[in-house]
Amino acid sequence: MKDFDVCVIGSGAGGGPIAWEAARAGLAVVVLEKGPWFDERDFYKDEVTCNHRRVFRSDYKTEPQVIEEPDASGQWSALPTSDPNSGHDYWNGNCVGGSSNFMSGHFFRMKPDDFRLLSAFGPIAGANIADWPIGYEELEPYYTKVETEIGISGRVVPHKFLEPRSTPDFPYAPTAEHLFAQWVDKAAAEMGYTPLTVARAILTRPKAERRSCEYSGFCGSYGCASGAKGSARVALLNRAVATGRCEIRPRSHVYRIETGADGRATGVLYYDRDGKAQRVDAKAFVVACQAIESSRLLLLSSGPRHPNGLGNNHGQVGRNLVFSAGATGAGHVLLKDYDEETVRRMKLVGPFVNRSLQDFYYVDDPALGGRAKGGTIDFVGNSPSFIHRAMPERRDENGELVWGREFKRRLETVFRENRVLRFEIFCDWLPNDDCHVTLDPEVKDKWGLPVSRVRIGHHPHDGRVSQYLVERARPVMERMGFRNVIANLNGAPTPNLQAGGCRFGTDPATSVLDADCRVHDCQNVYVSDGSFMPTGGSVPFTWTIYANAFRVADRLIASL
Amino acid sequence: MPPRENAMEEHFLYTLQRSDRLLWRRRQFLLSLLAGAGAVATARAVGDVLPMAPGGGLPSPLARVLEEAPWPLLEGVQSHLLPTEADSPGAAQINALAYLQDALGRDEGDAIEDRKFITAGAVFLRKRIGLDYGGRLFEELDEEEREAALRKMAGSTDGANWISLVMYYLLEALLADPVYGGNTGEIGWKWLGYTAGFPRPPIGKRYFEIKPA
Repeated sequence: MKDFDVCVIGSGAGGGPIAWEAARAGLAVVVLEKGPWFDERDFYKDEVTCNHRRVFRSDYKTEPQVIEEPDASGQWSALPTSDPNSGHDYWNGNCVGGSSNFMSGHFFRMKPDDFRLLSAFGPIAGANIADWPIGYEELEPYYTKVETEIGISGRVVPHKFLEPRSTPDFPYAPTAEHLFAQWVDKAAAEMGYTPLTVARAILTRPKAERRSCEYSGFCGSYGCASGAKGSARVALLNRAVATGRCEIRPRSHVYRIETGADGRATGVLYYDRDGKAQRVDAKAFVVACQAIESSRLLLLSSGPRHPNGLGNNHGQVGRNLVFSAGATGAGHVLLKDYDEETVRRMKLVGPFVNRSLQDFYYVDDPALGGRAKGGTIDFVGNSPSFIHRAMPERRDENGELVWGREFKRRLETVFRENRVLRFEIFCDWLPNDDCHVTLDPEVKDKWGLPVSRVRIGHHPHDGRVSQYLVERARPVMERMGFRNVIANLNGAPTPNLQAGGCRFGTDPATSVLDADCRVHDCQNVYVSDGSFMPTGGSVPFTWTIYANAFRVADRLIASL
Repeated sequence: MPPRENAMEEHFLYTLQRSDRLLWRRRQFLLSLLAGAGAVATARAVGDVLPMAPGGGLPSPLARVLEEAPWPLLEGVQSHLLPTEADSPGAAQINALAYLQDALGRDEGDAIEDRKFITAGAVFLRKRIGLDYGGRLFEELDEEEREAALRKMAGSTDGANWISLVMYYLLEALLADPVYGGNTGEIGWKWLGYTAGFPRPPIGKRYFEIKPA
């Protein structure tokens, strides 16, 4: 007799759908989550807590990661995040519901050719591009399911690259929109483009216990106090627990999946809140710790039939990690150039901009070598977080420190005289041999376990596509009247958008998971976060992760 | 290679990198910058000696902070970096010194590193000024001399990092929710036209008080 039917490791967008669907199907489920269990009573619009302390993310000192980056001479240089000179890490939401609690929920579907990037656009030297083993049509019903289960608001706008849909429109009307949405619409239309309404994982009317969006003006990076944001916690896990068949164990750090002589998993070992080792057994196990840590857990889980880590008999675990390539940019207008009513509407806090352009999702342009994959231009409002926005004002245009009265005048310019519109470019992060996760040979975390060593190399093609899209976004910004439109292209990863590392495929020699996201040579272990993705599309991943996890849930339940 | 700042709307704070608080990636401070006996004295002042808290027992982090750092100097530096003007607040109006002491007195996250670094930098600056200005204290310098001393400090990587971190905490004191003790009467918010979100953090749910299951 097993303790549970299904054991889910990690409770974010990858784990939540499994827990909910399995519990709903009558199975006994346990969710082991490394972080604590916050809820609406812990979520306030507090910039210090949400952005400048580690309340919702793992401690980079006691749970370090080792980041390998190119140094000035182009050699790989590794530094643990626990080193005072380290500047960044790849931890996101460490709590029940994971980083889906703190997303801004810009939801995009991938498009049919994203599932067959190699076939559609051919190989690129130095990139490990692979077709997915499934097509868009297999995922489409699950994309649709996410619209109702998680709650996605939006408006379908016909355009040349609109992905096929089985329903005519979203179940929730779009969120309220900021004045700048109208500006994008006007400028884009004048330029012959099709402005799209960005779908959001935000309720615009109540759904069961969840309230509708209250437009507090603080969304991404902040926990949602109304329940409108579609985190896995509020949209799925609360319902799973309510069935009486799903137990969530917070502060439970899984460090090993045990496998038997037949190669199948028999149980998982974890440290509880007191640091005591515990064991749970189940019929099936689902790994969903976010891409980097999912690879790490498999690598930590060697066994009789898995001497190099679970699923790693072909050395594929941790390889082909991907992020979202692209760029960010911004421009500003001067309030003094506009009438009182326009200024009032510009200053309005709460409504969203919610506009994107996908006219360049696929391009045929000599500048990119002919027919090529482009990406998405997403127009976004400026951050409501003033401390963050004030920080760059400590430097002048030459990088020199500015203080005193001059510093104060800079703050007044930024906050009182200007309004900013930003844009973000999303394009494919080409999988390559210099972007991967391994176990660090020396550095250990507070439990004495080897930590993730992450190499974050990117393919130069990504930068060319990003530049191409920036050059198309800039004139739209300028047409709206924004000045000093600048963009930041540096090829660095998006820590909050991780995928790959355990790609799915049909050949065990080149993939970790089969088409059902089950480990090739371990029939009762699935990976259901973004790790499965061989390529990530030119959009944020979260809707795809949710959709695929619902698909995996169906396969898993059918196998039990 | 600095990380890409943003990934999604309003989301870029979420990927905010710790290094952004400093100008440069390193904060080795200083000991090497001071020759000879000064280095030894600095090392000692940085935290070899832990004072006892009032009433005995182990010192609280805050008590340790209060004991270690040259606060009159830091108060003077804060006022120079964020001066008071007729129609806009300075360090004194936003309660910046007490805010900094409280933030650095928390034994968690960056506060531990920041405490060491800010203390070391302040001790260094005191000594540097002693050498450059005939044994005087920062607090005793006039505005022009203070400016010159800080510009000299900013001339090194470590010094620039130190000033940048002191300014970072000034920004927190200016713009964090008043529940943290700075931004008195929302004076920073009013000055820069900030619209607070809701719900706002109450006492009992500040970053050091949230205690989930």
